[in-house]
Amino acid sequence: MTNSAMARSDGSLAVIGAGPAGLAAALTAAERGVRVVLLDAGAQAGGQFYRQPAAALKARRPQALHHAWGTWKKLRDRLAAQVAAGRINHLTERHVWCVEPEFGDGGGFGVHALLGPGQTEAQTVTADAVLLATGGYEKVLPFHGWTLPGVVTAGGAQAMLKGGLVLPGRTAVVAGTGPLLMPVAAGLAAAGADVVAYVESAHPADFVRHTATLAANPAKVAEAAQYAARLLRHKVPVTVGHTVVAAHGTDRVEAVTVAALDRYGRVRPDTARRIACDTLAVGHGMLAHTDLAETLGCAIDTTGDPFVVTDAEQRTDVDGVWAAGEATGIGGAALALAEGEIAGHSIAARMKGAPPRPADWARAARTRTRLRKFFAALDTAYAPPAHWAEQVGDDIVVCRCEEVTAAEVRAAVKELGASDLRTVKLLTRAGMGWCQGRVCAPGVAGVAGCPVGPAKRPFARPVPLGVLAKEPGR
Amino acid sequence: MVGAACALYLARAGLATLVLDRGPVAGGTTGAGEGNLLVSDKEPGPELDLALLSARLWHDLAAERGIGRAVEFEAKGGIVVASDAAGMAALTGFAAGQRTAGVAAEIVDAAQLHDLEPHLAPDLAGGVRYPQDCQVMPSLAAAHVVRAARRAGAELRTGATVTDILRAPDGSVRGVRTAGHGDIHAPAVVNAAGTWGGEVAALAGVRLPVLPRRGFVLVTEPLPPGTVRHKVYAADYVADVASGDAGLQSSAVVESTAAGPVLIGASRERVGFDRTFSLPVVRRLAAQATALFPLLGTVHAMRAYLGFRPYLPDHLPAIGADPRAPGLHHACGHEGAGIGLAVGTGHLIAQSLTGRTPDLDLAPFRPDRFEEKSEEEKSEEKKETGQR
Amino acid sequence: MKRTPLELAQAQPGPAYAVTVDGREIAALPGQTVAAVLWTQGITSWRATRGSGAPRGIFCGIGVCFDCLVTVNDRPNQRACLVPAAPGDAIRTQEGTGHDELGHGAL
Repeated sequence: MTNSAMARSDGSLAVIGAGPAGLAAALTAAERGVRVVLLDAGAQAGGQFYRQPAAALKARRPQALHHAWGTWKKLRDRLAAQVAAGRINHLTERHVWCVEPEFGDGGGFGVHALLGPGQTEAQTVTADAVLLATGGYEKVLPFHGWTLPGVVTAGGAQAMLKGGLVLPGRTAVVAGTGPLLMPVAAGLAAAGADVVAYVESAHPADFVRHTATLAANPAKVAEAAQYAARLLRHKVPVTVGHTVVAAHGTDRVEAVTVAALDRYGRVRPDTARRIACDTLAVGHGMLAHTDLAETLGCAIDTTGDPFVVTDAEQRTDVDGVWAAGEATGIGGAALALAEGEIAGHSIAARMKGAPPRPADWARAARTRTRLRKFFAALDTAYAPPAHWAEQVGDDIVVCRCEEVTAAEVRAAVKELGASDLRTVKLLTRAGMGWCQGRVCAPGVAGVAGCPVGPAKRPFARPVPLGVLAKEPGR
Repeated sequence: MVGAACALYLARAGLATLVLDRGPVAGGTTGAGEGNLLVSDKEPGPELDLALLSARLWHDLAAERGIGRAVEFEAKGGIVVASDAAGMAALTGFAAGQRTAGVAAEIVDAAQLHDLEPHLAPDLAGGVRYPQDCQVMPSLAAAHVVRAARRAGAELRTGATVTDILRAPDGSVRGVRTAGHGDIHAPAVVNAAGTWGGEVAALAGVRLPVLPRRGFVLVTEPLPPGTVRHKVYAADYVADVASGDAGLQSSAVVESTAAGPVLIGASRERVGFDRTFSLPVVRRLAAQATALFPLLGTVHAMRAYLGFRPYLPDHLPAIGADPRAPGLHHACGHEGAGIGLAVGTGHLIAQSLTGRTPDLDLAPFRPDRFEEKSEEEKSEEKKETGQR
Repeated sequence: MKRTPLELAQAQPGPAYAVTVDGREIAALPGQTVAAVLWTQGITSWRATRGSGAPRGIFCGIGVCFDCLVTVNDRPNQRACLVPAAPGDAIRTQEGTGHDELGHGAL
């Protein structure tokens, strides 16, 4: 889109995602006079991090499930004020499936969304600028029994707890790697689950290299200490340098086998130990939702886990498109807030045709720098065990949707000459199911020995053909 | 797919064969195809003759142990439908011509149409059923045919880009130069580079005006077997295929797959190698498909992808020896019919290279038949092959 | 007695209402998703995969993995983690593609 279209002071901004990044951006922009349409899939704002119990559950103490409740309250109140003032139009239960550039006569963006949980009807919102705050989701690497009911992602267990006030079972093991495991274990324990083991594959030694970076973030260190204290209080046994080797059961998980890892990340079979449980909450890190950005033509960094590339103002390389939060690289809620704020400043200035003033967001910029460095360090420390892919047995389903086994992936590589993820997909169907490879890409790529690479998903969600067939109204 | 088929027949004919691809197996248009093996959409002429030959050979290949199932070969038949009496008359006339060339074509009225495809829109005038139409999964087909070629002695090098075609002082082709794999000497080089066939031809200093013709495919959620039973398409598809128009041509093409999802096509545009997703084109495909099969309205599209068909101006591929560069042979430019025509092409190439009389007259497919081109047409081509 | 999430958040939802799961009537709390209702009943799987018929329920819990597909009021392939349970909803386990009404068997 042209700069002249952008400089319309009455132009509108579509913010996609009402988690910390989207909220910070929408509020910052609205408070500076920008007309904002805030689209979000949830019934209430908050995204994953600030997920609230469903309103009809009438929770009087929702803060019991949350960390940093004060921050959320301020955001929530600011949002209510901007909505009441007519500056933010908050559209809930909008599942955005595509953002189309050069849409309609105005030449701006067409934001196409499916409505409500049923997602059979559509709405299109036009906007002159777009902020993508599409968030992230859990990465889980395959292991024996990971498809058993009762094996859930750590974030999933947390989402069901925060949103539905339910537990998957009574006896839980929380396992994998990453900072998300701590609040999940603490949350499950506080809600009444018997968390019988907390199993982290990283080893404290992995953190020693990053002591300076970690110490530069006292708030984060304090947060970790708080979780550790809560785990202690709930008598959750914490084991580090260990991994879940298998989940066992017929119709649901009944036990897991846990074993120690040697210094090369290989399982030491002599240390295997069985733990009875009816729930396994597992996670190996987080991945960014990049589909809307990728289809718009935004540069996506694919050297490691993919993320949307942004500049110091949180702009992507596509005119009129900004991105903030987990979508630009996993870094937690505080980083998302800082990035959203910066994006809001940048959008407000540029939509008026004025040069942005970095001094206005100096504090947020410092927070951004500090937290990005922190999470880069965490990323290295919490990397999955180096040889995890070798330990995925041939019979393990690596693509859950299409039930493709590791054996089939390996055969595609060895016998049919596949050397990249797309070819593996074409030859095995891994990644061709409902989730379009979002869940299985890291696992399949690891087993195939190739990079994950860019994903091409024009539809961020499945779209009914009847919706596609109808020319969008406004 | 075409390269894989050439390799198979050449290797089985006893020639030492090396297949080079700058990307992976099925990395080009093959990976974006639907896997059509059609006679139904071709009027009498050289392409239809090639399609009939190729169909017979595909059946033979699919009957070989392990291949048919592995490539999801389905002899399902095709149905072309007409929405009104005028369309029906045109279809009937077209089918009569095809029959003279050996195509089996059976007129079906509205009631029979419903028996054959229960979910078709109820108000269609009728159609023609073509029992000879088949389907495969194109990427699996290419991969398994390559594997069969390797079993017959062929060698495969993926990730090997050909940067030059080597020629002797007398102009004959002596092999290829590759990036990273050095020079490879061979008395015969087969250009099976599909949509990039023009670029490869240029390496040998000859012109082959292959242009990209972009197409999108919509893929639905998995549906049970029997939802769509044949390859079904609207009669205007044939006109689109044969058209030389650069603007968007689209008509409904709907078929199921062995794995469950239904594939929806077909669009054709000459936009160079533009890989930008086009929602308007995809919307049109959805509208046309739901008009044919109303039940699809509530079925979800899970993904859409695009590919570039290799298009030669007279809509016939280039097959056979290039008189301008002795030792260079071409097997490319099959537009949207590459999967179906590949096996026949491979067979003809092998016959040609082993000095046997090809089963089809190769004159209509001569690679040097485009020599008389105006400067304007040449610059048009330059524009369209600009990006990769 | 061990505490529950409802107690932790001091939730006071209105009265439970009835929904059915494969014809069996169960209670649902206002505001809960179909998945939450099923978990409350101790039900952790409500789908059989179309390949091997393996049981599946919640995996990611946020609508990304599509493991939790369930049929609600004859509409198949609804993500149980996203869809709120409404009074009188008929929830049915599903298998295969979820589309029993299409295909060879149905006609």
